[in-house]
Amino acid sequence: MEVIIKARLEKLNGVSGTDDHFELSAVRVIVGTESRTSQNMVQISGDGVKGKHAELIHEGEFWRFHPLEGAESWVNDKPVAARDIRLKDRDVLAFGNRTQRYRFCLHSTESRSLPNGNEGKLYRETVSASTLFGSVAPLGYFDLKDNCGTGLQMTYSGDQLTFEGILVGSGQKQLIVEVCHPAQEIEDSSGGRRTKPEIRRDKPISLFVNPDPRALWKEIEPADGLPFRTPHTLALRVEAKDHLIIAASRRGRSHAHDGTFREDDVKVVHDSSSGWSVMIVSDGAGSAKYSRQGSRLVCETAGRTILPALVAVEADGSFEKNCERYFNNDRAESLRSLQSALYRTLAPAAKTAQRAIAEEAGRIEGASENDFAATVLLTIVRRYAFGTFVATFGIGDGGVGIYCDGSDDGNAHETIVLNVPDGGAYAGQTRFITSRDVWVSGDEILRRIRFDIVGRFTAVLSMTDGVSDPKFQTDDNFRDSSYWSGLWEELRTEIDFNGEKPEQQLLEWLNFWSRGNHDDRTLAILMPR
Amino acid sequence: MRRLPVYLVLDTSGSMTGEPIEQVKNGVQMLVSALRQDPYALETAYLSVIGFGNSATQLVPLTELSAFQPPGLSASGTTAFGEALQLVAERASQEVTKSSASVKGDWKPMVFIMTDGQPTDDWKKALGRFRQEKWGIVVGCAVDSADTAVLAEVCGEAVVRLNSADSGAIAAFFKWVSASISTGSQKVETSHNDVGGLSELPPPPPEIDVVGL
Repeated sequence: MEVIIKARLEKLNGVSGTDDHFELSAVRVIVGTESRTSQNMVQISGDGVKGKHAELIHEGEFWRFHPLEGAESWVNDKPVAARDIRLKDRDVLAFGNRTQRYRFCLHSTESRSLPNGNEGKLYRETVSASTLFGSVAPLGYFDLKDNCGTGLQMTYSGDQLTFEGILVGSGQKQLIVEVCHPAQEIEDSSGGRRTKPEIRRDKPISLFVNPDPRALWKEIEPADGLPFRTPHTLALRVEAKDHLIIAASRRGRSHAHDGTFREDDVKVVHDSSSGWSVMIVSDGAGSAKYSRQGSRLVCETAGRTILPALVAVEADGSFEKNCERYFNNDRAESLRSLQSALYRTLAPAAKTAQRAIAEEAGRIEGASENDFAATVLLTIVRRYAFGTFVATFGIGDGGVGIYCDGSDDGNAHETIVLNVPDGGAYAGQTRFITSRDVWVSGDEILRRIRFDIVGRFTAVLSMTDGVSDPKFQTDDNFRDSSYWSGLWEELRTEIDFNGEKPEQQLLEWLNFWSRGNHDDRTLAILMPR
Repeated sequence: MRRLPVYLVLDTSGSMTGEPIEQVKNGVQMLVSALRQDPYALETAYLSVIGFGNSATQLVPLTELSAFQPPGLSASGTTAFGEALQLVAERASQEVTKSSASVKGDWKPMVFIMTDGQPTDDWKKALGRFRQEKWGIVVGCAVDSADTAVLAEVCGEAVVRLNSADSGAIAAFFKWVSASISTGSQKVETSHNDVGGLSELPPPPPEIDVVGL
């Protein structure tokens, strides 16, 4: 029988790396085979050190250590001169020669710890009793005398103990396992034989059960008297002749936990006479103290000013003609004209919102524009007979895409991404509507305007990073249609778009669980019907 | 998910024998228990422990808080501070995910270095390697008479001193480290920015003096 000591090996010489952190498969304690008595041999097979080095005899709660002649060894970094050294748990012993030395930390008695578990989750771990208890005496049977209210049960086979069950409660638990060493015949010092009686011992085993992270998130109301109070949720629906727009916004768990307000906002508008629809989502910067008012001003101001501008640009019919030319790949003239029209409509709407923020900052003592920092994703949609025109103006995180689901007619899923987050891989470089460098030049503004015209499409989706981070993770994924189809599948499973209140179902869906992602979440969806 | 890696680099040289090393063990245990009650930290923080005496060893590789088990620590030997700097840099370069267009990398690591002595190896050479890695914040903690000038070269202004190695001071340090990790994991999640300087951490308790520059 071979028993591996639960010990940690460190290489003394040279720089440590991955190789010098491993459980000691190279070191074996061989019981009963190397000598007549039940002494245990420490045997090392590793580079530079080979062979038998010492005897380790387990005696109750400590180990007796006998280095073999010719083998250099150290205990707690002191060279070993004498035999018969008593080792305590956590003592460090070392073997080797001048160039190579292996050190072990002895975990003989304290290593009774099971891998951690998670509250409410199925736990199933199998451990060797010899490893767990550091005992090499013949083991008999085991009984879980106290599961400490964890709901665990224990079974065993030979020396393998299996702990299993759905974990109840959380925190540091101590289980008690009764270990029974059966009676055995042994040889005594005078050469006679005697019966060593059965020994029963209660062995404590520690187990840490992690609390359910969902239960740790608190729901705290913001303090009374704070300005710019914002409801924790918002759900909107606008029904147009040929399309439906729903939108929802929800305070993130992180804001609920800290008793702060939702900083996202959303606005959807439709003008039935001109046929234009507008979706605006805005994410107030976490570092800006009045950003909830910033995002509100973005949505309200841009939502109010964009429609008259669009109606004006549409008035002489040239916009529609240019859209049709562009759609039919006659792009020489149409591209410029459309860009110019968008520059004259989208940019001023956003700029008006920025001015509204500047004015608001001026009204509040000690406040600056940056205290209202917020992103903006302004999306305009117009359905024509030949196709649907979609344009966006974006500053900062979040994203907009036109998704075309292929599952019903066997085509591939397609996505046209109209806005990808600013700043890329480097955190902290997100732009806001209040950032000076956004407004420095016409080119800088034009860069933020994107448009496309599509024939068939499933939905236009605009979202803050509270949704795009958990659902797409990276910019590359945001351009990958498989992520969009995954998102759409989730949405259409949870939301009955033809039902009574799809916006409420969207609001519910926004409550999804995603580890490490607990920001405010806002999603606006426009779909044809 | 973007992880917040935390490296605890702990002096386990001979001078830590007895009460101090026991308090460090308790400190790590307490830190983990406290962080597990904090939903930000429980989901975001990943913890590694590196010990240094005669040599430096990663006692626990970068592990999520829920699976972390406090390591056994025993005090002996000299103070291989340089080797510890080298090791934490090497481990971080392997364990911490860097950002790219296709991968959202981890947050920059937080490092807490605790020592009670003078380095006994060539730590200046290792410092070069250490500086190659991108760190969020590196805090040095000098216990008792430890050399704060050495720590200042590694940690800049983020150097604190415990005026004694008694149980109260070491416990207070770990409590502060725990609060700092909580603050850090909350910060990365709410502001989407890395942890920066000492000023972003909670104010240290009375047992801890900020040495500064």
